[in-house]
Amino acid sequence: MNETDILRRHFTLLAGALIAGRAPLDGASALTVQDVTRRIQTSLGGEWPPAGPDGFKAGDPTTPVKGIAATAMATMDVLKQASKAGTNLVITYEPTFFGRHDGPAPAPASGVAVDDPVYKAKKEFIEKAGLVIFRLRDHWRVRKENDMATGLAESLGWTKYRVAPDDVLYDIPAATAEDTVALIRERLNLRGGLRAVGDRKARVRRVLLHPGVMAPATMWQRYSETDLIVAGEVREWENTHYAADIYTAGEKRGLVTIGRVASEDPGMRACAAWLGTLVKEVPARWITAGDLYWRAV
Amino acid sequence: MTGREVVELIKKNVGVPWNEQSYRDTFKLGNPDSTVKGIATTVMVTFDVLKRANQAGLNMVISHEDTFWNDRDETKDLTANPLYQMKTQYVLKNDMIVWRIHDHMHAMHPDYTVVGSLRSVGVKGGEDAVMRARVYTIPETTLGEFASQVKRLTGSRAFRCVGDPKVKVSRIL
Repeated sequence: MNETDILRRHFTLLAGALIAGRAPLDGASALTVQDVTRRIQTSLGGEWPPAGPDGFKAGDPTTPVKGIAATAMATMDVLKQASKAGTNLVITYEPTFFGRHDGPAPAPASGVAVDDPVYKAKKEFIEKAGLVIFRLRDHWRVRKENDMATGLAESLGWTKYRVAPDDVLYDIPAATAEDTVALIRERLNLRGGLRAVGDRKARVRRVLLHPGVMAPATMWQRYSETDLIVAGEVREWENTHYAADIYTAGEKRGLVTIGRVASEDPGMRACAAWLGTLVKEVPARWITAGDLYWRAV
Repeated sequence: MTGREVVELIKKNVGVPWNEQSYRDTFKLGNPDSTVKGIATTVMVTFDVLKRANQAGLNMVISHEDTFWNDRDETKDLTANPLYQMKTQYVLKNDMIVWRIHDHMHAMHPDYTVVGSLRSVGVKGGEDAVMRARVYTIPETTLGEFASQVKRLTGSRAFRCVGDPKVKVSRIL
């Protein structure tokens, strides 16, 4: 095959891809996982140091990509769903291997043990199923668009209530804290993860959405603007303590924590939609990690 | 007896050398030289706990966790905060004293936070427990049953569970 033939072959494949929208490519020409992650890196920009939290966590980056799944956390359950759906690239916001080191790490770092049975089983499943895991948190979070907050608002059905230009404040139809919490639980399909502090009967209209962890300084600065703060998680001796003291002081402002992962899940649905605009060759879908908790009866 | 004298007595009796470098185990509010009328211990000195202690005539509150919603009880960003002012004024107005014991409680033998947790969820043993992972054996039950027991004994509405409720449970970490 001479050079012209190769070019023609490539052109044909490219034309095929354009016509079919999604081309099942084989061999050396197939789109690899690495091709996809390079597109992500180029599009989001910034530095991608090998030791940073974002990047490959498991699997072979040269694997031809069959489908992309975005999720808040690559739990074993999410991985199984991804594999079943024929999706082999999993983009996860939170770690895969149970901590910031995302796997075994030498002391004094507190990574999972090399021979930890849960770690080993997960790693083995990933290898057997031919999955590749790529973490995307920092670079997704620093985008101009705050998709983590607006994605959560969308899941709650509150997009139209946004108090622009702020993308975290929403003026929802007034209701009691109790009823608002029930609505949040239902719309996010929560089981046992949600916890609420404050007066049940307080009137809620202005809500602040804060997916992920809320630090004390953020709460100190912004609580007086809101009737209810909806966060992913907080430390009990920080913001739960503060919310309890607000309640004792007689202020009608509440705090609801819906769980770290549950709060970040909708933002990763937005990420899946964004990936769909970036990669046309294979499908990109959202796989929800869901509410991980249940409550005692 | 003053607040300071109470603390001196505690320091002599914890059974471990006192670490003066601990930023946690210090006076947080009030005048340490005020006379102590009664002592309240609590896991976290919320505004509600302060009020209840005061109503019970207990003016010294010993808390395991922080007073001002951050571990170091740093207050430089809080001076204009209305809640900070309210909580502080309540303590001063009622001549109360707040002192924290965290690090030394975890250094004690046993660590009463661990022994207390075991008792509160109905696990026997561990009289000498310290803050180190250790497996306790309980009569075999299911995870769901054990969770119900914890709810019944502690009255907690907040705790969350992960795992199959039907799985058998006998060893607890």
